[in-house]
Amino acid sequence: MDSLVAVEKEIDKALDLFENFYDGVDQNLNKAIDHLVSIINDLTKIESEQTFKLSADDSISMCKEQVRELIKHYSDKHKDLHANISKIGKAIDKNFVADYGNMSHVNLIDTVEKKMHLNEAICEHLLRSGHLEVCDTLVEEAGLVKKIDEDKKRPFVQMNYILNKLKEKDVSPALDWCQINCQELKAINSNLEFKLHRLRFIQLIQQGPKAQLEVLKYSRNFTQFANDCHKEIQRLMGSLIYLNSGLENSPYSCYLGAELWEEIEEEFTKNACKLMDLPVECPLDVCINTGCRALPALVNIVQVMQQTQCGHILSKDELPIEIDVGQNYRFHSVFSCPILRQQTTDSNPPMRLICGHVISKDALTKLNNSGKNRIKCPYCPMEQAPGEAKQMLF
Amino acid sequence: MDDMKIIEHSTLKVPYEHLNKLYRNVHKTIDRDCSSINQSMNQIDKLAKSADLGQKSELVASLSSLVEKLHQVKKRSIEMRNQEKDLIEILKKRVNNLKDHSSSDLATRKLFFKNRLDRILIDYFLRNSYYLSAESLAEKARLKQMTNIDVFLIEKEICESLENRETQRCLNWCIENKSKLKKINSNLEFTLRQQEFIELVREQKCLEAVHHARKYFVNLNPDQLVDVQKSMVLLAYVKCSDSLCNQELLSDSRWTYLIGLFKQENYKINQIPEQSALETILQSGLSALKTPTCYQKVTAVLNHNCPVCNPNFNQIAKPLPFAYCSNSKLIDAYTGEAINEHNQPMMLPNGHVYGYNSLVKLMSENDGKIRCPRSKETFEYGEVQKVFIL
Repeated sequence: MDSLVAVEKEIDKALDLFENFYDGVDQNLNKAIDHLVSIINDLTKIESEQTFKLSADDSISMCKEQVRELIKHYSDKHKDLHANISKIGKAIDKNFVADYGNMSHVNLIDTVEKKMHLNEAICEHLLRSGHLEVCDTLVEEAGLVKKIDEDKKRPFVQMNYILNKLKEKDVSPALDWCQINCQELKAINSNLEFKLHRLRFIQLIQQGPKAQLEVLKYSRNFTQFANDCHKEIQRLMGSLIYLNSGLENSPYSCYLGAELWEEIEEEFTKNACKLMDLPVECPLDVCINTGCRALPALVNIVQVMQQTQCGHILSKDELPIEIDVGQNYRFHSVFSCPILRQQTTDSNPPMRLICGHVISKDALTKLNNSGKNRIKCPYCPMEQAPGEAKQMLF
Repeated sequence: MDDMKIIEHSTLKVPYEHLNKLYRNVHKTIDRDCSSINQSMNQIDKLAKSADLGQKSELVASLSSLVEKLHQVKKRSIEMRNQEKDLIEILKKRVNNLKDHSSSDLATRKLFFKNRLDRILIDYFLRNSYYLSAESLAEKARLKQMTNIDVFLIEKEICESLENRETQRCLNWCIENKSKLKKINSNLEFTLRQQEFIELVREQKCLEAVHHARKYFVNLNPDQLVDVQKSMVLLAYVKCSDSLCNQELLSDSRWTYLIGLFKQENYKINQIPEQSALETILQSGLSALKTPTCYQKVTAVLNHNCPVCNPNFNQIAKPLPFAYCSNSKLIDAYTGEAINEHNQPMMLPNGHVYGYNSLVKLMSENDGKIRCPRSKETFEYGEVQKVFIL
């Protein structure tokens, strides 16, 4: 933030100085023009030779001085402004890192195939975020062979339509969708439909006493959820007490929050993606978010490594530092052998010893080096034969 | 250091360079105006010193023309004032927009990140000449002001002219940016002149080619001299098209090379980084998410949500390093929950491991028996063994 503040400071300063400069120029020019016009008027009136010569000399020399001042001010002061402009540039360079801190080492997209893959990933992102025309244009310009046909687009079009309606606080398209996909939603234990009905119920209550009949009629919709959500339904029906006075000052004011609407959008997206067998969050989004999170730490390391000439971090097998991607973005189990400090792989899987402790297969082999066919667990006094260890699958 | 400092340098630097360029042009105009005013004033002064009544009208006329000149200077200065002010305002707007990155309101931040991704995509489109997509996205996302589309549109025109084997537009651009190109020791102008020479020889206009060479191949450094010597050989072997040297000089790939060189120099003088933001951020992101599991066939636990397991990114991420993990981080293959001291790992007789919470869930779904979600075998709770992860 302070980097922005520093740059803004210089920009504001420059704006002020420019303003003052041009005001001054304007003033000087106006003065000079006025003066010249008055000289012209005076001279035209003069008839006598004597007065003419005197007057001409005098007024012109005065004028000359004024014009000289004007020119000097115009040119010199503008030159001075350059210092302020370059200060802006210096502030930017000081507070921001140019060229991504030399992070780019590998040319990631070096083949036509990889470019196609990336463009496809971008198309998926564009579809999910509702930019369907942009996706079409990209398919054309990038020459993507796999044309995204209407069938594939339809679910996204529908999803975006429902989301836009939810943003406008209209739940009916979403409810229609729920009813169509009722079976599948039940299979994934979703309570999306109930939550949508709940929002509509609250909307009706907010319309006040005139909607009383409608509210009661609408509450019939809750009967299908009687088993699963009966406690919540009880609470909702309790809120009817405040139909007249409004929910704002009641214990049920929590139902009026905007978070409920944001939550329903997320819930709908999650359910829709699950039904369509899609990842909950667009892969491109996940990558970019993680990348932005990881960049500062990695750029620091690159700077350090450049000084020690160890080669670039992206040319190694493993990153040199740990990046915390957050629990949401942990998609696979990673087991790090406590003895050899390596990640386990297919060829080097984790093995469970009889005592319950886990080490990697390579570590097991190393422990068995003495060839006695008896190994002792590194963490407890339990002994066993190496063959008794069981391969684990996370 | 936060990610904004690393990613947004060119967002601010490019309009700054525009401002710098404008400033220089404005100053040139100011100097020109000042010297012209000075000239007129001196003339009037001379006239006034030696004037008599008879030359009154002459004097008045030259005074009037000076007034006219001053009016024009004033008009120009108002124009330049607005131009300079506009550019500074653009910079200020961008700075304000970037402030949303650290906004305390979650919705504003979310919108900022969404816009940032769109900006990154627009930049990627422009670099790869997908101009229509870039413009379309900029319009839909209302981001035109935050992007550097205008720089790329100029680039587009020149690239198209180069693709049509025309060098004039590019040469004009070189002359416009002469000082900056000199600062970076650019070879672009020389390479363009060389190409013109080759084209003249190709059309068998040898005498013109020689004139061209005499005019433009002056003040060369040693590398350029070697190049010129090679090209001169063409004059001798012009009819012989299968000589290796000729093939290289007469080939179309030289034009492709020219286009690439132009783009490179264009980025340098506009302070645009050479690699796209998208690729840089993807490299970090994919690397931080990449685990050996994403590339294994045998024990592959297909996680739908993992971007590296996505077929597109899987290919792209192949040459990148794996994420570094000092301590084991386990997640349950059935529910995706974290496996830790609150959700202890349990191993079924077939070797598959799940968290305790998952086992409870599986038992409730299957009458007290545990049905492994992956291998579909059923086990009793007594067969489960505890696992200790340190």
